Amino acid sequence: MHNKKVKILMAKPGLEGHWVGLLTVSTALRDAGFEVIYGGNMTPPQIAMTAVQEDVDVVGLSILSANYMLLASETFKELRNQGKGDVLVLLGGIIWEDDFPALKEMGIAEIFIPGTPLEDIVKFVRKQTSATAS
Amino acid sequence: MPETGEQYSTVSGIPIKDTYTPDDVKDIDYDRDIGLPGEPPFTRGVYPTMYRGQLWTIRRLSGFNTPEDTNKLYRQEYELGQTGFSVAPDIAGVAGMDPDDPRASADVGHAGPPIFSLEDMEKTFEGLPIDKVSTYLADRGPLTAMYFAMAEKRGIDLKQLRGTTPSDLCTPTALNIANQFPWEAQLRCNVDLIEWCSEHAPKWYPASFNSYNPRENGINAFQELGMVFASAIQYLEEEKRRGRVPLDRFVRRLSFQTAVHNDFFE
Repeated sequence: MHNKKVKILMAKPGLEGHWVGLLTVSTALRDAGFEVIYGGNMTPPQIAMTAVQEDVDVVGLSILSANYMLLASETFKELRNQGKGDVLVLLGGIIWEDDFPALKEMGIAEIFIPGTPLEDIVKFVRKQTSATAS
Repeated sequence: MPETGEQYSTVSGIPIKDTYTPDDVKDIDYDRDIGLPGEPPFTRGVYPTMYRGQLWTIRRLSGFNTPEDTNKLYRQEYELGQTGFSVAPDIAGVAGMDPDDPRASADVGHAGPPIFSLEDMEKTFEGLPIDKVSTYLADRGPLTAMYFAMAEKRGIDLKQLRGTTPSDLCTPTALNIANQFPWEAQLRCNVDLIEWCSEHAPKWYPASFNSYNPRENGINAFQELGMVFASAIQYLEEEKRRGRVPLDRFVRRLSFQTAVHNDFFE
Protein backbone atom coordinates (compact mmCIF):
# COMPACT_ATOMS: atom_id res chain seq x y z
CA MET A 1 0.00 0.00 0.00
CA HIS A 2 1.27 3.47 -0.86
CA ASN A 3 1.77 6.15 1.79
CA LYS A 4 -1.55 8.01 2.08
CA LYS A 5 -2.32 10.97 4.31
CA VAL A 6 -4.67 9.92 7.10
CA LYS A 7 -8.17 11.26 6.40
CA ILE A 8 -10.55 12.18 9.18
CA LEU A 9 -14.23 13.05 8.87
CA MET A 10 -15.41 15.29 11.70
CA ALA A 11 -19.16 15.51 12.14
CA LYS A 12 -22.06 16.20 14.46
CA PRO A 13 -24.86 13.69 14.04
CA GLY A 14 -28.27 15.06 14.92
CA LEU A 15 -29.52 18.62 14.99
CA GLU A 16 -27.66 20.02 17.98
CA GLY A 17 -25.51 22.83 16.64
CA HIS A 18 -22.80 23.84 19.15
CA TRP A 19 -19.80 23.41 16.87
CA VAL A 20 -16.89 25.01 18.67
CA GLY A 21 -15.61 21.71 20.10
CA LEU A 22 -15.76 20.02 16.73
CA LEU A 23 -14.00 22.92 15.04
CA THR A 24 -11.32 23.17 17.72
CA VAL A 25 -10.41 19.49 17.48
CA SER A 26 -10.61 19.60 13.66
CA THR A 27 -8.16 22.49 13.60
CA ALA A 28 -5.78 20.70 15.97
CA LEU A 29 -5.86 17.58 13.81
CA ARG A 30 -5.33 19.59 10.64
CA ASP A 31 -2.40 21.43 12.21
CA ALA A 32 -0.95 18.06 13.21
CA GLY A 33 -0.86 17.06 9.56
CA PHE A 34 -4.00 15.02 9.09
CA GLU A 35 -6.41 15.65 6.24
CA VAL A 36 -9.62 16.76 7.89
CA ILE A 37 -13.02 16.86 6.29
CA TYR A 38 -15.23 19.10 8.38
CA GLY A 39 -18.73 17.76 7.91
CA GLY A 40 -20.51 19.86 10.51
CA ASN A 41 -24.05 18.67 11.19
CA MET A 42 -24.76 15.51 9.20
CA THR A 43 -27.26 12.70 9.56
CA PRO A 44 -25.83 9.22 10.23
CA PRO A 45 -26.52 8.17 6.61
CA GLN A 46 -24.73 11.32 5.39
CA ILE A 47 -21.79 10.55 7.66
CA ALA A 48 -21.51 7.03 6.27
CA MET A 49 -21.89 8.19 2.67
CA THR A 50 -19.20 10.85 3.11
CA ALA A 51 -16.92 8.37 4.87
CA VAL A 52 -17.18 6.13 1.83
CA GLN A 53 -16.90 8.88 -0.80
CA GLU A 54 -13.86 10.39 0.90
CA ASP A 55 -12.45 7.01 1.88
CA VAL A 56 -11.66 8.20 5.38
CA ASP A 57 -9.64 6.35 8.00
CA VAL A 58 -11.23 8.00 11.02
CA VAL A 59 -14.66 9.36 11.90
CA GLY A 60 -14.87 11.84 14.78
CA LEU A 61 -18.30 12.48 16.26
CA SER A 62 -19.18 15.41 18.51
CA ILE A 63 -22.37 15.09 20.54
CA LEU A 64 -23.48 17.46 23.27
CA SER A 65 -27.17 16.65 23.34
CA ALA A 66 -27.25 13.56 25.61
CA ASN A 67 -28.62 11.36 22.80
CA TYR A 68 -25.23 9.86 21.97
CA MET A 69 -26.25 6.22 22.55
CA LEU A 70 -28.90 6.45 19.85
CA LEU A 71 -26.85 8.58 17.45
CA ALA A 72 -23.65 6.55 17.86
CA SER A 73 -25.50 3.30 17.27
CA GLU A 74 -27.25 4.71 14.17
CA THR A 75 -23.94 5.97 12.84
CA PHE A 76 -22.33 2.55 13.30
CA LYS A 77 -25.27 0.88 11.60
CA GLU A 78 -24.94 3.17 8.59
CA LEU A 79 -21.15 2.81 8.45
CA ARG A 80 -21.50 -0.97 8.42
CA ASN A 81 -24.28 -0.86 5.82
CA GLN A 82 -22.04 1.18 3.54
CA GLY A 83 -19.06 -1.08 4.04
CA LYS A 84 -17.10 1.26 6.26
CA GLY A 85 -17.54 -0.71 9.49
CA ASP A 86 -13.77 -0.93 9.98
CA VAL A 87 -13.16 2.81 10.23
CA LEU A 88 -11.82 4.17 13.53
CA VAL A 89 -14.63 6.00 15.34
CA LEU A 90 -13.97 8.56 18.05
CA LEU A 91 -16.47 10.40 20.20
CA GLY A 92 -16.29 13.76 21.91
CA GLY A 93 -18.71 16.03 23.73
CA ILE A 94 -20.80 15.68 26.87
CA ILE A 95 -20.66 11.98 27.60
CA TRP A 96 -21.41 10.36 30.95
CA GLU A 97 -18.54 8.17 32.13
CA ASP A 98 -21.08 5.53 33.17
CA ASP A 99 -21.82 5.07 29.48
CA PHE A 100 -18.19 4.62 28.37
CA PRO A 101 -18.26 0.77 28.57
CA ALA A 102 -21.43 0.51 26.48
CA LEU A 103 -20.04 2.95 23.91
CA LYS A 104 -16.76 1.07 23.66
CA GLU A 105 -18.73 -2.15 23.29
CA MET A 106 -20.54 -0.51 20.38
CA GLY A 107 -17.21 0.15 18.74
CA ILE A 108 -16.17 3.64 19.78
CA ALA A 109 -12.38 3.50 20.01
CA GLU A 110 -12.00 6.36 22.48
CA ILE A 111 -14.06 9.06 24.11
CA PHE A 112 -12.73 12.58 24.69
CA ILE A 113 -14.66 14.75 27.11
CA PRO A 114 -14.10 18.41 28.07
CA GLY A 115 -10.70 18.92 29.68
CA THR A 116 -8.90 16.54 27.36
CA PRO A 117 -5.73 18.20 26.09
CA LEU A 118 -5.83 18.50 22.30
CA GLU A 119 -2.37 16.97 22.21
CA ASP A 120 -3.77 13.77 23.71
CA ILE A 121 -6.32 13.48 20.92
CA VAL A 122 -3.65 14.07 18.27
CA LYS A 123 -1.34 11.50 19.89
CA PHE A 124 -4.13 8.93 20.04
CA VAL A 125 -5.09 9.36 16.40
CA ARG A 126 -1.45 9.22 15.33
CA LYS A 127 -0.84 6.04 17.28
CA GLN A 128 -3.99 4.32 16.05
CA THR A 129 -3.55 5.27 12.40
CA SER A 130 0.18 4.54 12.19
CA ALA A 131 -0.48 1.09 13.57
CA THR A 132 -2.70 0.27 10.57
CA ALA A 133 -0.59 2.00 7.90
CA SER A 134 1.86 -0.19 6.06
CA MET B 1 10.52 46.81 40.80
CA PRO B 2 10.38 48.33 37.31
CA GLU B 3 7.48 47.31 35.11
CA THR B 4 8.09 44.45 32.71
CA GLY B 5 7.58 46.80 29.78
CA GLU B 6 4.66 44.81 28.38
CA GLN B 7 1.73 46.70 27.01
CA TYR B 8 -1.09 46.32 29.51
CA SER B 9 -4.60 46.24 28.14
CA THR B 10 -8.07 44.90 28.73
CA VAL B 11 -9.15 41.61 27.18
CA SER B 12 -10.41 43.46 24.10
CA GLY B 13 -7.27 45.57 23.72
CA ILE B 14 -8.08 48.86 25.43
CA PRO B 15 -4.74 50.11 26.82
CA ILE B 16 -4.55 50.48 30.60
CA LYS B 17 -2.30 53.08 32.19
CA ASP B 18 -0.35 52.26 35.32
CA THR B 19 -2.08 54.98 37.36
CA TYR B 20 -5.07 57.23 36.80
CA THR B 21 -5.17 60.71 38.35
CA PRO B 22 -7.67 63.62 38.43
CA ASP B 23 -6.01 64.76 35.22
CA ASP B 24 -7.47 61.75 33.41
CA VAL B 25 -11.03 62.68 34.37
CA LYS B 26 -10.83 66.48 34.20
CA ASP B 27 -12.85 66.63 30.97
CA ILE B 28 -15.79 64.69 32.35
CA ASP B 29 -18.88 66.86 32.53
CA TYR B 30 -21.15 65.46 35.23
CA ASP B 31 -24.48 66.34 33.61
CA ARG B 32 -23.40 65.40 30.09
CA ASP B 33 -21.45 62.22 30.84
CA ILE B 34 -22.75 60.80 34.11
CA GLY B 35 -26.08 62.19 35.28
CA LEU B 36 -28.56 60.53 37.56
CA PRO B 37 -29.87 56.96 37.38
CA GLY B 38 -32.86 56.69 35.10
CA GLU B 39 -31.85 59.76 33.09
CA PRO B 40 -29.81 60.17 29.91
CA PRO B 41 -27.06 59.19 29.28
CA PHE B 42 -28.06 56.41 31.74
CA THR B 43 -24.45 55.89 32.85
CA ARG B 44 -25.72 55.10 36.32
CA GLY B 45 -28.50 52.75 35.21
CA VAL B 46 -31.74 52.71 33.28
CA TYR B 47 -34.13 53.11 36.21
CA PRO B 48 -34.13 55.76 38.96
CA THR B 49 -34.10 53.27 41.86
CA MET B 50 -32.40 50.35 40.06
CA TYR B 51 -31.99 47.32 42.34
CA ARG B 52 -33.34 49.09 45.41
CA GLY B 53 -36.60 49.38 43.52
CA GLN B 54 -36.55 45.94 41.95
CA LEU B 55 -33.95 43.18 42.08
CA TRP B 56 -32.85 41.64 38.79
CA THR B 57 -34.82 38.58 37.73
CA ILE B 58 -33.29 35.42 39.15
CA ARG B 59 -33.78 32.47 36.83
CA ARG B 60 -31.77 29.89 34.97
CA LEU B 61 -32.25 28.37 31.54
CA SER B 62 -33.56 24.91 32.28
CA GLY B 63 -35.80 22.07 31.22
CA PHE B 64 -36.05 18.31 31.33
CA ASN B 65 -37.13 15.74 28.76
CA THR B 66 -40.88 16.12 29.15
CA PRO B 67 -43.22 19.01 29.98
CA GLU B 68 -44.28 17.15 33.15
CA ASP B 69 -40.73 16.74 34.46
CA THR B 70 -39.94 20.30 33.47
CA ASN B 71 -42.93 21.47 35.48
CA LYS B 72 -41.65 19.60 38.55
CA LEU B 73 -38.25 21.23 38.07
CA TYR B 74 -39.74 24.70 37.66
CA ARG B 75 -41.81 24.27 40.82
CA GLN B 76 -38.69 23.28 42.76
CA GLU B 77 -36.78 26.23 41.35
CA TYR B 78 -39.61 28.60 42.19
CA GLU B 79 -39.67 27.29 45.76
CA LEU B 80 -35.92 27.87 45.96
CA GLY B 81 -36.52 31.54 45.26
CA GLN B 82 -36.36 31.95 41.49
CA THR B 83 -38.28 35.05 40.47
CA GLY B 84 -38.73 34.09 36.84
CA PHE B 85 -38.46 31.23 34.40
CA SER B 86 -36.24 30.57 31.43
CA VAL B 87 -37.46 27.93 29.05
CA ALA B 88 -35.04 25.82 27.04
CA PRO B 89 -37.11 23.94 24.49
CA ASP B 90 -35.80 20.69 23.05
CA ILE B 91 -33.44 20.69 20.08
CA ALA B 92 -36.17 19.72 17.62
CA GLY B 93 -38.33 22.56 18.94
CA VAL B 94 -35.55 25.10 18.58
CA ALA B 95 -35.22 23.94 14.96
CA GLY B 96 -38.93 24.54 14.53
CA MET B 97 -39.60 20.92 13.62
CA ASP B 98 -42.61 18.89 14.65
CA PRO B 99 -41.66 15.84 16.72
CA ASP B 100 -42.80 13.52 13.94
CA ASP B 101 -40.42 15.10 11.44
CA PRO B 102 -37.96 12.36 10.40
CA ARG B 103 -35.07 14.82 10.70
CA ALA B 104 -35.90 15.35 14.36
CA SER B 105 -36.16 11.73 15.44
CA ALA B 106 -33.03 11.61 17.59
CA ASP B 107 -33.48 15.06 19.10
CA VAL B 108 -37.06 15.21 20.42
CA GLY B 109 -37.04 15.73 24.17
CA HIS B 110 -33.29 16.38 24.38
CA ALA B 111 -31.77 19.50 25.93
CA GLY B 112 -35.24 20.53 27.05
CA PRO B 113 -38.90 19.55 26.80
CA PRO B 114 -40.76 19.23 23.53
CA ILE B 115 -43.32 22.04 23.53
CA PHE B 116 -45.14 21.83 20.25
CA SER B 117 -48.69 22.43 21.37
CA LEU B 118 -50.59 24.64 23.80
CA GLU B 119 -51.16 21.57 25.96
CA ASP B 120 -47.40 21.06 26.36
CA MET B 121 -46.98 24.70 27.35
CA GLU B 122 -49.77 24.37 29.91
CA LYS B 123 -48.24 21.21 31.36
CA THR B 124 -44.87 22.95 31.63
CA PHE B 125 -46.37 25.85 33.60
CA GLU B 126 -49.07 24.06 35.56
CA GLY B 127 -49.55 25.62 38.98
CA LEU B 128 -46.99 28.36 38.37
CA PRO B 129 -47.88 32.04 38.75
CA ILE B 130 -46.97 33.35 35.31
CA ASP B 131 -48.71 36.62 36.15
CA LYS B 132 -46.21 37.24 38.94
CA VAL B 133 -42.96 36.38 37.17
CA SER B 134 -40.96 37.22 34.09
CA THR B 135 -40.41 34.32 31.68
CA TYR B 136 -37.68 34.05 29.10
CA LEU B 137 -38.54 31.82 26.15
CA ALA B 138 -35.60 30.70 24.00
CA ASP B 139 -37.81 31.21 20.99
CA ARG B 140 -38.42 33.19 17.84
CA GLY B 141 -42.22 33.10 17.83
CA PRO B 142 -44.13 29.84 18.28
CA LEU B 143 -43.47 29.39 22.00
CA THR B 144 -44.37 33.02 22.62
CA ALA B 145 -47.71 32.56 20.89
CA MET B 146 -48.40 29.49 23.03
CA TYR B 147 -47.38 31.30 26.20
CA PHE B 148 -49.69 34.23 25.42
CA ALA B 149 -52.54 31.83 24.59
CA MET B 150 -51.98 30.05 27.90
CA ALA B 151 -52.07 33.39 29.74
CA GLU B 152 -55.30 34.36 27.99
CA LYS B 153 -56.89 31.05 28.93
CA ARG B 154 -55.99 31.76 32.55
CA GLY B 155 -57.64 35.16 32.31
CA ILE B 156 -54.38 37.03 32.66
CA ASP B 157 -54.24 40.47 31.07
CA LEU B 158 -51.59 40.36 28.34
CA LYS B 159 -50.86 44.01 29.04
CA GLN B 160 -49.39 42.92 32.40
CA LEU B 161 -47.52 39.85 31.19
CA ARG B 162 -43.73 40.08 31.59
CA GLY B 163 -41.04 38.17 29.80
CA THR B 164 -38.73 38.02 26.82
CA THR B 165 -38.61 36.50 23.37
CA PRO B 166 -35.07 36.86 22.07
CA SER B 167 -36.01 36.88 18.37
CA ASP B 168 -32.45 37.79 17.27
CA LEU B 169 -30.99 37.12 13.84
CA CYS B 170 -27.32 36.56 14.56
CA THR B 171 -27.26 33.95 17.30
CA PRO B 172 -29.35 31.23 15.64
CA THR B 173 -27.02 31.49 12.68
CA ALA B 174 -23.88 31.47 14.83
CA LEU B 175 -25.19 28.52 16.83
CA ASN B 176 -25.96 26.64 13.64
CA ILE B 177 -29.58 26.07 14.53
CA ALA B 178 -31.04 23.62 12.06
CA ASN B 179 -33.85 24.30 9.64
CA GLN B 180 -33.50 28.05 9.51
CA PHE B 181 -35.60 30.21 7.33
CA PRO B 182 -34.07 33.14 5.45
CA TRP B 183 -33.01 36.24 7.37
CA GLU B 184 -35.52 38.40 5.56
CA ALA B 185 -38.36 36.13 6.63
CA GLN B 186 -37.05 35.97 10.17
CA LEU B 187 -36.70 39.73 10.34
CA ARG B 188 -40.24 40.10 9.08
CA CYS B 189 -41.63 37.71 11.72
CA ASN B 190 -39.64 39.34 14.49
CA VAL B 191 -40.69 42.87 13.57
CA ASP B 192 -44.31 41.69 13.30
CA LEU B 193 -44.02 40.37 16.86
CA ILE B 194 -42.53 43.62 18.14
CA GLU B 195 -45.32 45.63 16.49
CA TRP B 196 -47.97 43.37 18.00
CA CYS B 197 -46.42 43.40 21.46
CA SER B 198 -45.95 47.14 21.49
CA GLU B 199 -49.72 47.42 21.34
CA HIS B 200 -51.02 44.24 23.07
CA ALA B 201 -48.24 43.16 25.45
CA PRO B 202 -46.26 46.31 26.25
CA LYS B 203 -44.42 44.77 29.20
CA TRP B 204 -43.12 41.89 27.11
CA TYR B 205 -39.73 42.21 25.41
CA PRO B 206 -40.23 40.68 21.97
CA ALA B 207 -36.58 41.21 21.05
CA SER B 208 -33.38 40.71 22.99
CA PHE B 209 -30.36 41.08 20.77
CA ASN B 210 -27.74 38.60 21.82
CA SER B 211 -24.01 39.06 21.70
CA TYR B 212 -23.33 36.76 24.66
CA ASN B 213 -22.90 33.57 22.64
CA PRO B 214 -20.71 35.19 19.99
CA ARG B 215 -18.59 36.74 22.77
CA GLU B 216 -18.04 33.30 24.25
CA ASN B 217 -16.96 32.22 20.79
CA GLY B 218 -14.24 34.81 20.45
CA ILE B 219 -15.48 38.26 19.45
CA ASN B 220 -14.32 41.16 21.62
CA ALA B 221 -16.24 43.88 23.49
CA PHE B 222 -16.19 46.27 20.52
CA GLN B 223 -17.62 43.67 18.21
CA GLU B 224 -20.26 42.79 20.81
CA LEU B 225 -21.54 46.34 21.01
CA GLY B 226 -21.33 46.68 17.24
CA MET B 227 -23.29 43.49 16.81
CA VAL B 228 -26.20 44.30 19.10
CA PHE B 229 -26.47 47.89 17.95
CA ALA B 230 -26.37 46.81 14.31
CA SER B 231 -29.21 44.38 15.04
CA ALA B 232 -31.27 47.03 16.81
CA ILE B 233 -30.67 49.51 14.01
CA GLN B 234 -31.73 46.96 11.41
CA TYR B 235 -35.00 46.34 13.22
CA LEU B 236 -35.61 50.06 13.66
CA GLU B 237 -34.92 50.72 9.98
CA GLU B 238 -37.43 47.99 9.08
CA GLU B 239 -40.10 49.55 11.28
CA LYS B 240 -39.26 52.97 9.91
CA ARG B 241 -39.80 51.55 6.43
CA ARG B 242 -43.13 50.02 7.48
CA GLY B 243 -44.31 53.13 9.35
CA ARG B 244 -46.90 51.15 11.36
CA VAL B 245 -45.79 51.83 14.92
CA PRO B 246 -44.26 55.07 16.25
CA LEU B 247 -40.53 54.43 16.59
CA ASP B 248 -40.56 55.81 20.11
CA ARG B 249 -42.96 53.03 21.15
CA PHE B 250 -41.22 50.37 19.05
CA VAL B 251 -37.78 51.03 20.46
CA ARG B 252 -38.93 50.58 24.06
CA ARG B 253 -39.65 46.91 23.33
CA LEU B 254 -36.03 46.19 22.44
CA SER B 255 -33.62 44.63 24.93
CA PHE B 256 -30.10 43.23 24.88
CA GLN B 257 -28.15 40.25 26.17
CA THR B 258 -24.46 40.89 26.41
CA ALA B 259 -21.61 39.07 28.09
CA VAL B 260 -20.37 40.26 31.45
CA HIS B 261 -17.21 38.32 30.55
CA ASN B 262 -14.28 38.55 32.92
CA ASP B 263 -12.76 41.97 32.48
CA PHE B 264 -14.10 44.39 35.07
CA PHE B 265 -13.16 47.46 33.07
CA GLU B 266 -15.17 46.33 30.08
